[in-house]
Amino acid sequence: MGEEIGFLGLGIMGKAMSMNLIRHGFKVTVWNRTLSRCDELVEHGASVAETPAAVVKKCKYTIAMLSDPSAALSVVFDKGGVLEQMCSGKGYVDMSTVDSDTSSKISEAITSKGGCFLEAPVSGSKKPAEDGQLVILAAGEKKLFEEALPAFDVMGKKSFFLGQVGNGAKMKLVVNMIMGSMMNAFSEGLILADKSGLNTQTLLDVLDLGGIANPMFKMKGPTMIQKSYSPAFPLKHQQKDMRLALALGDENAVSMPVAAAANEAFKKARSMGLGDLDFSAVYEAVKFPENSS
Amino acid sequence: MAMSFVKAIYTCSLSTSIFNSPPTKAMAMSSSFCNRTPNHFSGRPISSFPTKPTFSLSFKAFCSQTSASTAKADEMPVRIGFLGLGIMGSPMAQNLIKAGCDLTVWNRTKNKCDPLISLGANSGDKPLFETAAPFLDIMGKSRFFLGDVGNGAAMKLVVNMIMGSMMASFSEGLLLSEKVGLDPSVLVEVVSQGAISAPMFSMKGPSMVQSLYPTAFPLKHQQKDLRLALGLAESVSQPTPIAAAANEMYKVAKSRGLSDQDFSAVIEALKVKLQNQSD
Repeated sequence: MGEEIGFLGLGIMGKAMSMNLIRHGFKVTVWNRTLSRCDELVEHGASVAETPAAVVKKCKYTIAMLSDPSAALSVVFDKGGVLEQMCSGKGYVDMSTVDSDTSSKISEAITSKGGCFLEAPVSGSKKPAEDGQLVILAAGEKKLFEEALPAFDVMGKKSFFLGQVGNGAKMKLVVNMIMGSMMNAFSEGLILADKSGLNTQTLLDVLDLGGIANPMFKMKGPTMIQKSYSPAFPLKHQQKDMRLALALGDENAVSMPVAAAANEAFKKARSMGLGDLDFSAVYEAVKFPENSS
Repeated sequence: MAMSFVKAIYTCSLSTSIFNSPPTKAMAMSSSFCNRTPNHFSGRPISSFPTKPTFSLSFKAFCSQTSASTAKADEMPVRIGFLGLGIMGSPMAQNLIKAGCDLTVWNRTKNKCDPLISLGANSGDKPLFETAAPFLDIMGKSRFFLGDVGNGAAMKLVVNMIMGSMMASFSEGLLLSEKVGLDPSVLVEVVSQGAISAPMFSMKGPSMVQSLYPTAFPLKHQQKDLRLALGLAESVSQPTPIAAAANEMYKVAKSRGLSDQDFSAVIEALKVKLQNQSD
């Protein structure tokens, strides 16, 4: 893949991912809604384009990393969007986390212009993005998946090809649903330990030794105890993912009582103004009364 | 020796508190206690002490006995446990501490221990923990001393509450993935690669995908632990909606006859059971 790669979206994830590509010798042209976020990439050798269309015009492959379904759609369908320059021979890889309907919509639009489409949402947040340790959940055009592998191998530690468009989106939502519920269960455990007169750090130590030890508890536990919620994965995005997962369950009449309860906690956290903090800030919403301990 | 020692203490402490009670009742009580004064006190010389009612004599005799035993304490310390620090127990225990006894206290309401602890009582039994350590180390890979009796139980319930909720959520994920056309085995693999990778998921996931639940931890015991954790949460007025939702799932699984299966069988609670199906 010695071609020029386009990168749309330089948020928490996109900035780290595109930086990794540049560091590993890829030629990258970036675009971001707020153009100033491109500056650091430019310092490291990236080119900038003024619109998504301008990026696609220049590059054989374009990767997108947007925050939610509406941003992902906007970049494709708006004036100056991807569609204006999409044509045969070009590939579009959308790594945003969206619902499968949004992904299908984008896929149809791209392929109707003759382009190839791959959805490739990722599992992992800021640090794995910086370290190139993401887990990539791709689906769509198999050929494009194979062509994208050199870039995927730089950004991630493992890539899955899951079949038809929609499967990557669904897999990502299921994983994040479990994660959101786990963060809630963890929060309930921490506050119950605290209120029962136990030492919360000791709870972390005990958890770390057993069958339910996991990197998320290990990483977030100490910062939650210190009420430190610098965002690696914004709470509002976690709640969006819970909502989309619940909608998926709705469509298929699948029972999900724990996820539903977890979603309520994230909603409460948002209403408390914690949406832009790390999703572990749901701990503050789980504490009762709020701000106790 | 220990038994009679304790009995003597009880006798003498009550005698002391009698000083503070109304005279007539005290006299009546003390005379009955004098009758029960242990035999090995009765031979004590009276002449060493100023003339006082019999019950105070036995108290002083006890104190000299106590100081004798504390003099021996360096060679063979006697540790005494005291359960129950209510209206009676608290002053009784206080007297023991003031007399120099090595006292370990327990009370159902933990904060009643605090005045005794500030006077020098121990809570929980750290010395016993140290003694048991070599045996704990044979059975386990790690040991924690968590303080007062009750803390170990609470910690266990908190851990199992988190575990029960995690298994319930994992079940939801497996079932949802299957219903939307994904391969649940791939979900297990994806989870194992990321931030929520846990030994429990990697171990149980594959068998759950095949609807097999070989019993390592019976579902009925997981549900019992969740019920107890919810009780603990209620006792400290802490809402735990996720644990509550998970508990309901285990109850459904129990009603389906899955009590003796592994707790991972909770996934069955999410599956629709048709009326003509048997377990």
